[in-house]
Amino acid sequence: MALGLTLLCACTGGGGSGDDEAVPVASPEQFDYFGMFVNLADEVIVPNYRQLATNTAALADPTGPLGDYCAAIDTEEEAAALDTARLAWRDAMGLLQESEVHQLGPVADENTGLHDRLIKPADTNFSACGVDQSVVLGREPDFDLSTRLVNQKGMGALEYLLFNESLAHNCPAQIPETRDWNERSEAQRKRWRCDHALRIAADVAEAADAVLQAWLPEGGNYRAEFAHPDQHEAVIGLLSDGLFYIESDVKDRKLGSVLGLHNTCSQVACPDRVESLWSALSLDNIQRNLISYRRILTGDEGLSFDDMIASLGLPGIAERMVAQVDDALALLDTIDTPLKIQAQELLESGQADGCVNSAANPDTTQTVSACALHGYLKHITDTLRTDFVTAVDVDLPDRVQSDND
Amino acid sequence: MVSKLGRLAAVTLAVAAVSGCKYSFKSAYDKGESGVTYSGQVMRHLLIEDLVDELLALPPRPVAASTDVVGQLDFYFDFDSGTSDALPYSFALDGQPLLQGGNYGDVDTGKNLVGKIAGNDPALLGGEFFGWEAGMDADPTPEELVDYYFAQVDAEAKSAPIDILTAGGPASITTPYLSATGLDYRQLIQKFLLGAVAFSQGTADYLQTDFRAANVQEDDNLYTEGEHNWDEAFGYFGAARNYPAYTDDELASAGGRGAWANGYHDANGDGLIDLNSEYNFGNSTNCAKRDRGTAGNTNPTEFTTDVFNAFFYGRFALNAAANLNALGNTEVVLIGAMAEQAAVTWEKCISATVVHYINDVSADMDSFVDGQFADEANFTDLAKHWAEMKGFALGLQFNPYSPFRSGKVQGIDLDSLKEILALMGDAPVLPDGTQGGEAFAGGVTQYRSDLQTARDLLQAAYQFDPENVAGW
Repeated sequence: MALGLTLLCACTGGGGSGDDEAVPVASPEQFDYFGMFVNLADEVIVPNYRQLATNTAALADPTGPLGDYCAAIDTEEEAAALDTARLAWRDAMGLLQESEVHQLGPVADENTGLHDRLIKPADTNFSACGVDQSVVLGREPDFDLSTRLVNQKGMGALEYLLFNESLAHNCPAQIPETRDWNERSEAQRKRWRCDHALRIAADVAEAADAVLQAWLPEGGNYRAEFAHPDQHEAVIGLLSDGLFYIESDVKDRKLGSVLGLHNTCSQVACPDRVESLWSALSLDNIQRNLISYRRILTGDEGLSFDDMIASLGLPGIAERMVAQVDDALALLDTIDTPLKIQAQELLESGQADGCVNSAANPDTTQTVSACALHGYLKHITDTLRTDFVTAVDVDLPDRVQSDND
Repeated sequence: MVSKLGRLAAVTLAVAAVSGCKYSFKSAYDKGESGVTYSGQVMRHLLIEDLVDELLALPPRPVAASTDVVGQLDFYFDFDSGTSDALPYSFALDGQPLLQGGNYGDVDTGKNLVGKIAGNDPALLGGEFFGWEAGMDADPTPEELVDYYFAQVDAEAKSAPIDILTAGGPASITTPYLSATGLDYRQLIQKFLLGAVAFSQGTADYLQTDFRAANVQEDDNLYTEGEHNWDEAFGYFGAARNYPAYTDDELASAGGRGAWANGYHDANGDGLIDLNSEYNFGNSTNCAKRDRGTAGNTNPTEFTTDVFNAFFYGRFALNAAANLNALGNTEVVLIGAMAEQAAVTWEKCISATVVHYINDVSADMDSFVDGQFADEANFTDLAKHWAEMKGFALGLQFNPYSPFRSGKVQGIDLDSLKEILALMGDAPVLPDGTQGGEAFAGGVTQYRSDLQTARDLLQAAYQFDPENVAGW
């Protein structure tokens, strides 16, 4: 898989590490925090939200790929239309995954709940039955999606509706709405699911647009609050907390708890805990998380943490962090077996040793590639939670205070 | 620095807030309102009760192969508020209306059992779960055991009736949650959940609170974090607010005054039973049953009094601290002592119940006739009593204050509890001398001896009076 990084021309600052060692760097007192925040806002964060809003709006458009699929059900065009709709979901999901690493500002405002409308919170379990129930309830004129819990909505619910090959419901017998579901015709079940997918897509698109508008100068202008020269310590803290998504969510939740490398999985592996259960795109999600992590770390061509750390006389730390994420991305490029399959194979083998060895020695032992990826992520997070936090003088977020590998 | 006058004022406020010998405390933040609330714990008790109802409602075996028995049971264990708040609960009191509306969402929202089972919340004490081998891997968890029990119910329910030999002739048993090896999964599931969810949460989570640090108002609520945590522990214990007003017979639903005789009472006379305050759930009734069992003995137990007093005085001190907005060292020590007394006495109610069922199982085995069950009831009684014994006994490992963990009883440690559970095994020994389908060395005679050894260990661990142990 290619990195796909877009090297944007930055009008907001220079700097950068890597090949530019000869370029003089500023001292800590002179470092241009304002330039760093403007760069990250204008070149990384807002463009990501803008593209997410665009893609999710297209997904929600009744005349877009999802609407086309709904119209094509039970016709010769159905399979092709479904492929196109799935591709559109995949593109939007990739953008959302990038945004997960900068969960700060409007998207993190618990009062608005915007994040949870885009994707369910990590600490809640997806409710397939809740979606099935909503599919039926959605036929009623007074159905109100806003009353449904967040674990029945967002991009995860869309994935379930678009990628789950089974049309059977997932509810216990006690749920009245789904009791006759399995007896309905295949075409009707597809149509009803697709109709509900459009409702959810509209909610996702509305949330994505709300996040974007909250950042824009003509909207809520959070950009001005974010890129404020007098608040650099607080903003650095927010950005740093965001980067720790790589530890709490990527290393521990998306990989560790699936591969039996985290104490939340008490078996050899827990394959059903993969993030994208139906689309088999869990590793793609991780790739987009890492790409975003790298962009926030380096600011692409503009100012960011690498320049800040260099200004402290510690360029080696940022260089190591970039090299570590590149190791992980390079390995991801070589992995063809979906994460769930790898976890299933581990579980069936009953042997954790291969995974543990790959995780402990990712450079030399990649027998279980996803476990080696976990090892590379641990390299990243070890540096993040030690050298990085010391260099930029921030605290560990509460959610990663203890390391439970 | 808080003055003596200030302390006196706070205590006076707390005393004034107490109404009789009831678990009733006014908020320090709004003197007109109660600061006691634990509807989430009531909801979990109700989910356990409804799970039992579901098991009891399964049709006779064999049920249709297409029946999703596990899904029907998971409905309660992994309760999904988002799909099911509007569904009616099955819990009911004969002819007695409840204050709470008829739907789950009227009791509380967003609660389930799996999220609060030991190992998920809080972490397993010592990082291990032990005492049940069948169907478990090398690294078992309580959640996995529940999943195993559910799968076993599914398999049993879809199997042919159980044929047993009795002294009176062959019998065919169609109960869907029994196994031919003498396991009553309905009892195992219920009793294990009371330990792994309610007892674990109460003792290993809420009573473990740093109460000094928690003497701060919780958000904008009418209580401090410490008060609320204490209330949640009390809610898991399951007692009605006026628990001391009941006789042991009434708490055990074994007689007493007419309006009290079924384990609940309309204390405020509104014609409705409030599940949050007027009903006795779970282990709170076991305490009374065991007290009843020692009435008239030389050293009768007072579990109901001891456990309620501990909960009451601890909460009283926390309420005073909330009024005072300070918690001194003396109060911290007192609250810690009350937490320990509540947890240890609660555990005694459970362990005495284990003793009770050891005695019942032994009596059931005494009824065997020439290598056969005396009759069908002999088989079903053995299965029921054994499952209650083992289900309750497994719960003893979830309390950090347990004598098996505290080191306060000479010669008793965690290995003693492991030995007790191992002596019980994963199934009773049947009249033909088998346990779980395998020959048991020494047969019924040896197993009876093993259970007596387990009972002796329990007697030593809790320093129970031998007369009480023999009579429970």
